[in-house]
Amino acid sequence: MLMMNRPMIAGFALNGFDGLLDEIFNASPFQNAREAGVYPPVNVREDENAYTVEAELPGFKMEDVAITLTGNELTVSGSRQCDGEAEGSTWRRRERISGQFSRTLVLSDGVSADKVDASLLNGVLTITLPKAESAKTRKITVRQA
Amino acid sequence: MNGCCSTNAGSNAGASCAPATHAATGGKFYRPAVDIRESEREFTIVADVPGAKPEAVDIDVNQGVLTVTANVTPAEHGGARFARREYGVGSYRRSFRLDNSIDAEHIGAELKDGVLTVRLPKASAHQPRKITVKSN
Repeated sequence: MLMMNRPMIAGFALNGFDGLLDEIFNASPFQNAREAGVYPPVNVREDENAYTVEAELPGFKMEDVAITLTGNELTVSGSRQCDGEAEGSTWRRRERISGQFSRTLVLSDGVSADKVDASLLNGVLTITLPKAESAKTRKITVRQA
Repeated sequence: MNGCCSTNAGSNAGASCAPATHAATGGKFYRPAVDIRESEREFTIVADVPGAKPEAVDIDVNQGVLTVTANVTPAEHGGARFARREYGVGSYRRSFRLDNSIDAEHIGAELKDGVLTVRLPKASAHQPRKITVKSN
């Protein structure tokens, strides 16, 4: 579990991007996720072709992070230890989150699982999930009779 | 706490979506989470500054106050809309008051994977010294 002075909600399952969170935070989708004990905070962008999920994971390496996609359910999990080199020293302040986390997001449209790409740069995880062809908006041309 | 690092004024806001106004400069900055450790020889400040690049980090000591700034410019994302927004992207800043036990000339810092580590060695007069007793 995450070691923080607030209760953490591990594996916090979010049912759809815009629904549950708004209810919990009293219609304030921009509430600080950390204050609510959700880690890591994520931003999701969407256009007609893809989702881009970003999460702040400072100090993580790619091998510390697991990403799984089941249907349109994306799970990001991992762990970080912040007490390296602590031997022979005394903590004076401890604010950084340490331990295990897991978060699941449900994407509203289907994605092409084999085209998902992830990178971790400067402590920011970016996952690109192209939408499945069947989920893309198609323009139907109406023929003239 | 013996010496070093009391966190300075500024703001109590966490790294939330709305950056807090920095008291000294008036600019908008996020306040990074930090760990601080003390050993016999130094203090170590470790700060989470995801998204920051080494060349954009600025550390200065002015009148006994250490200020760490990491400039981050939010990326452009064309026409994509936010389907979910839980954190804001922007520059980080936090200040720490140092006492005179710190050897300010030899403060060192490194940034790796969005984590900034600042080492503040204690002045030699404040380090423990072992006195060898000679026998005749």
